[in-house]
Amino acid sequence: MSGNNDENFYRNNNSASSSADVILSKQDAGHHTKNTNEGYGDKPLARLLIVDDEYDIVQVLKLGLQQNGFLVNAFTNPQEALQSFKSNAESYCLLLSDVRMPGLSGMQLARKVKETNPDVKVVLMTAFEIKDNEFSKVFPSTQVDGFIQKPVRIRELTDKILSIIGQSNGGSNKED
Amino acid sequence: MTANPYSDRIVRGNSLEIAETAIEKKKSLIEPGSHTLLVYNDLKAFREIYSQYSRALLHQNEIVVIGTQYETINGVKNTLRLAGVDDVERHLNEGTLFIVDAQQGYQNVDSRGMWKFAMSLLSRAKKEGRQGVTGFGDAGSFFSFEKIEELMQYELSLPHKYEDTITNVCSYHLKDFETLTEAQQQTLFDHHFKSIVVE
Repeated sequence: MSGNNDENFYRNNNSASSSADVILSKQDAGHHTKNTNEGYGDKPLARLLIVDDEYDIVQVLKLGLQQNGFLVNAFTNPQEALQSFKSNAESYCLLLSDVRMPGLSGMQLARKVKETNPDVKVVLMTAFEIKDNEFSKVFPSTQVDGFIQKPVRIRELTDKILSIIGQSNGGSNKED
Repeated sequence: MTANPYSDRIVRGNSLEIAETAIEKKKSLIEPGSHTLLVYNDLKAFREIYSQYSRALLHQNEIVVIGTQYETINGVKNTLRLAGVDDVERHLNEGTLFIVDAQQGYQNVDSRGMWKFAMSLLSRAKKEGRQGVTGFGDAGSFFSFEKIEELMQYELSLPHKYEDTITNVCSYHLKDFETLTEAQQQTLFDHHFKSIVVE
């Protein structure tokens, strides 16, 4: 990463504390909004719920995904995120959540979100080794639609989200 | 801080006050050979405490094991470096410092994995003339896996105090700890030799 001369990186730089990194490059940031003829236009792609207990990470994700055309509601407190989701469950297209959070883990949050609205897609992200069977063993009835290994580039994350919501209904924004 | 370190069984204080007790051995809140409970109110507080204690314990020729749940292994290394632990990599290479994923330790094979690992280091510590082994293990995975019964069984299977020179600091994020019933919380307070609550 340090050797990459082509891009300017914005990175969660809490070096003492980083439980994860999210990488946003200037190129990435405008990836899906530069050219409105790509089909995205000014209309938001979809509403996302983002949850991570690290404030810096939430902010970087929110900024990057907003710049790429998404409507984003972001939380560091998973309980508050769940309340927000429950009050407007039909408006959200996808939950993007950290896995390891105290009080309510990403796995638990995913299950509660799916219980409220089974149509919402769920992507879990972690800086630890991903063992997707770990989730299915613990919560076998909850389907997770994707896993993201942190650190992640915003472009890569955006593409992943688009591919997942595209699989469902072409990225519909039920709010609109 | 509201306690005489050795007489009060529940000590409450802010993280800086608690971390400072690591500096002098006689003021340490973590008594050697004890089964200690640590409830931290945020990750920053936990970092301050485990890093200052690790620095002191490594200096006192102990083996230190840190089982992390909410911070990556590299994050823990950085925290230790910033806290002034000399040559973290050397300690890791020499086997005097271990930083492990607590979730793997507690949930991979059985809930006693972290404990067994620390015990396995004890004989080596004795052979090498070290003071003992101290482990900080974050219990967060029991909550995310919804294995509270296993957690309670595991905690209650460990003694109040060890005959050997092994010290076990069971660490809980406050948001996890608060999801326990009052009776479960009290059971944990009662069962540990000392409880440290960061406010």
